[in-house]
Amino acid sequence: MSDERDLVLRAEHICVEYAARRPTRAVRDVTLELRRGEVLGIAGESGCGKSTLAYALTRMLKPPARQTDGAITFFPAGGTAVNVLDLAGEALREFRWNKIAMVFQSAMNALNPVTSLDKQFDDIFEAHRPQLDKTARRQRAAELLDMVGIDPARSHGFAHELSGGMRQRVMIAMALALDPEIVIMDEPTTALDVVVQREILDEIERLREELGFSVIFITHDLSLLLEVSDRLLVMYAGEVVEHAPADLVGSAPAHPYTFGLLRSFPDMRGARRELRGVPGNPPDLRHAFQGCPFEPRCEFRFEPCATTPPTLLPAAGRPGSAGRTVSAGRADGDWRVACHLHDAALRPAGPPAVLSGAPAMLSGGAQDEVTVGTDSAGGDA
Amino acid sequence: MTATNVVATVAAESGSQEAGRLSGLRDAFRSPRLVTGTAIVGFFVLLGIIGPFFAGSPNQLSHTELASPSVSHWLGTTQIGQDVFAQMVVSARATLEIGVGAGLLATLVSVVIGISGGYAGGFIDEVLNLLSNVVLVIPTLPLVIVILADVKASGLLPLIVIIALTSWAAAARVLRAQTLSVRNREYVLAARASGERAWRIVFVEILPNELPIIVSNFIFAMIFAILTQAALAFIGLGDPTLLTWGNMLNIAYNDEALSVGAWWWFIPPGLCIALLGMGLALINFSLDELLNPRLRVYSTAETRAADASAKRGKASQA
Amino acid sequence: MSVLEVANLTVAFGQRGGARLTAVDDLSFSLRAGQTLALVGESGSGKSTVVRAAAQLLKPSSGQIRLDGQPAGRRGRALRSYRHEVQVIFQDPFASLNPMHTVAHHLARPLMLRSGRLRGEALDQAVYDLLQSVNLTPPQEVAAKHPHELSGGQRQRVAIARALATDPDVLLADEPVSMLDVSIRLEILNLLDRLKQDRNLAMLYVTHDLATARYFSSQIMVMYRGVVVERGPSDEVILNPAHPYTQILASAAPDPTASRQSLADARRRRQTARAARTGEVRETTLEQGCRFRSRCPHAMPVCADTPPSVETGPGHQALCWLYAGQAGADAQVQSAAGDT
Repeated sequence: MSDERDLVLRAEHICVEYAARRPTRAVRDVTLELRRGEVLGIAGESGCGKSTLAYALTRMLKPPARQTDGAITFFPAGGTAVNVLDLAGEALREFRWNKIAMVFQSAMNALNPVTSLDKQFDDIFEAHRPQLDKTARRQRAAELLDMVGIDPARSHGFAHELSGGMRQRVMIAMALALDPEIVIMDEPTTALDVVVQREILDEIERLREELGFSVIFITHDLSLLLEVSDRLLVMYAGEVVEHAPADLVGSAPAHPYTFGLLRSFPDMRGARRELRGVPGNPPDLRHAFQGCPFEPRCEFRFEPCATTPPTLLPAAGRPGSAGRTVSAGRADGDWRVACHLHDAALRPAGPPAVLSGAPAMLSGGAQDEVTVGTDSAGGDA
Repeated sequence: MTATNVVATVAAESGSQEAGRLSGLRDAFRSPRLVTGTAIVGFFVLLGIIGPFFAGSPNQLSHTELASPSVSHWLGTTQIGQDVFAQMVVSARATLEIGVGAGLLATLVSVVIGISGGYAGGFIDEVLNLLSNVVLVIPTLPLVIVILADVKASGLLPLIVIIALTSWAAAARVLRAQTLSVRNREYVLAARASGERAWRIVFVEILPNELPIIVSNFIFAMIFAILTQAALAFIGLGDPTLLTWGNMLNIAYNDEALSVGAWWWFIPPGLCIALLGMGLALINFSLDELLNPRLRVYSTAETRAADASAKRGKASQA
Repeated sequence: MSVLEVANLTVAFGQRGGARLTAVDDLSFSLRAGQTLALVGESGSGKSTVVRAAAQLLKPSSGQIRLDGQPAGRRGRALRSYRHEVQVIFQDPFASLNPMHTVAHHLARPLMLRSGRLRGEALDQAVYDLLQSVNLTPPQEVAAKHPHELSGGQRQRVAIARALATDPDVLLADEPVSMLDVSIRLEILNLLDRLKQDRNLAMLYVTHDLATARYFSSQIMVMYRGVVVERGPSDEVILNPAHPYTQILASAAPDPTASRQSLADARRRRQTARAARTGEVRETTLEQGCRFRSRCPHAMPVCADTPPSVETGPGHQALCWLYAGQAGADAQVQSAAGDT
């Protein structure tokens, strides 16, 4: 475990279930730590549990979702640790949005279409800063809009007058309204054009540098996370399968799923090569898995995989000690993976070359240089 | 590799799905509303079908007039000594026949007009929509009264037809709206792109998706038909020889049952109308729960058990 | 030899308030057997409208469609015959299958429409063969399932099988993988590519993703607000984009090879550029002139006039005044896709 002075949030052994005759176990024993001022990325596809996890962290789970196990601890700046699950009433309200805020998926549809934007900001302030009078509230709202690059004069307008990208910025402004210490962003750019997406990400980075909040950034777009996050978690079937520094995992993934996921984002400017993703289909979360949940789709599976569930181990071939400094000022800690291939007891020779940590194994290297995607005879016009 | 993986997953899923479908039905019957509604309606249907064989003659006169309930007459007698219980049982059948008959006919008309208009669009849609709106706006009960008073037909069938033809419009509008939405869905476009003909698209692709609303409309139409007939009978329209609960109420009222205090004569038929209506309404409401899993509520016992296990888990962490 | 030719397609909608919205403006392209043409654009560019118009699922305001050199049938038997030859794969795997029907039904209907005499066992076998060709096995089990019992990827495979059931010559794929999980996208695209090669299909691949557009097509068209702003060989257009819009699209894509430092530098450059812009520019509907000029970093006064289509490389054209030079005063050149 990391030094608690660096931490702003710690969640341990979180389990979330969706009630039904056969309950869906959406999050299975997830542990994560968020350090002050860092961006923690969570990557995974539909059904991996990342959004459910985000709701659990902010105590926003709604029936039929239910947290069945785990502890969440918040370490406020200059204060004592807070057990988030014990919060109730006033204390819970104070925690939500003041300390931890969330930008939801398709946030642009979360704006109220029938009230003006400044009234929506008013709602936030009335709930959490009742001492502010009307003028002060309007002023703060204008500041916030300006901060995200929107003309403050538009605060009297309505949501439908703004484009998708602008609405997303308004959502971000609202999340930052009370100067929280943690902001969770669940797919904040997914429904946006690639150009607007780039702008929003730049904005988030600039605000983070300016205001110093920590970010949990959740998305399926792993290539995006490699750029914006400091560390990242890869989730599959409700579990964390890899926990790695973002600047290194792109060229040296440890888990076969991470490897497959990275391969699913072809480099636009690269040489033509065989393009493969991950074969098979996402797992059914109503089942209890016998061994590793990724095993049916894994091209590197061997004997223990179908019968023994893996636990998080240090990734073979990577420096695993805490406090290793990679880029200026960002200590990344350890690199862990839930995979038997990295278990020296089960596989003394170590994992296959592509997962062993030798850089540049991803692009080119392991696969054949086969040109696909070119059209048959007829030639280019 | 892809093939084997897909095989494995498909096989696993098929096993789980079969269990899922059967249990869905079992789950549905956990809903107290559905159980109650089905029980009530089922009771009356049974009463209507087999009751008349056991209840005795409803029209038999006797000398025990206005007798309160006793062993020989479970619900007492009318002013001319007829057995109220027998009347009530026989009336159940007639009432149900009217309900189902008029309900079915009204639903059929609303399906034809609503869906054809919605799918066809353009001029046909304009005309049919206009027709629906006109019929909708005219108050139903007065319209039925006027028609009945004019037609002077007797028997069940004219009554069914008239009630049906005046009550289809609201359902037709709903179906038109639904069809407008469904026709732009991609599976309908795909059917068009395959070259399917319009009538096949309407019957095979669109109609099945609207079944939940159609069933719901049918139940509403049934309730409406039963209540309308009861109202008509109460004010003396419709066939007076037809034995229905509404007629019973009419006769009871005319024969001053209320002032005489013969509660066993006018309360049972009124109660039956109300109960049948309520039973149908309960089924209608619980249809929503049945078809939309997100609305299903899990029993408090289950929720409490899960919370308890969670608390135990947290305690072990401390 | 083109299988499908679309010439001067215009689709305009009347809106409330009277203003007409031109979703597709004078667009032309042609599809060849065994080749894929990628149509790239953002949401709102009109690319889905192009697909629907080409499939004759909506009526264009003007334009001609030719199939195998003959004008496309517009009604009755001729239209049905057209539909058999030109099939569509839709974007949303959850909406493109009817939740009430089994997979077998979805595949049997188009099979029967194509060959009325197919019945019973022969029909079942044809259904299983189709499922086999899209790697959904065991076919007997899959055929009996309903859509909600399948995953998104499996549903899309069924949609592909359905499109192939009428034995078409042309496949119009409208963002076939954008609503699927990332890890299975390439599998599905590989399947489409293989089927295209095996059956010598002419394919239109509509997408907003430049990377897959490059790898799965030989030709590419970039659309912005109803107009093709650039077209040419895929590698050319993506590696050497000529039109400013294409350049912005290409630069916005994540670059896995860039170092953290270069990314931070790029970000700072973009931020200074944006700070120089005054406030957010609300995109207005510009019918005259270049539609991109309100967002273009190189906008000039002449851009208020409709730019010409200029050849910037072999087979590579861009609709932009930057390359027009002296010839810019000429009337717009007819889009040359079918001539080369």
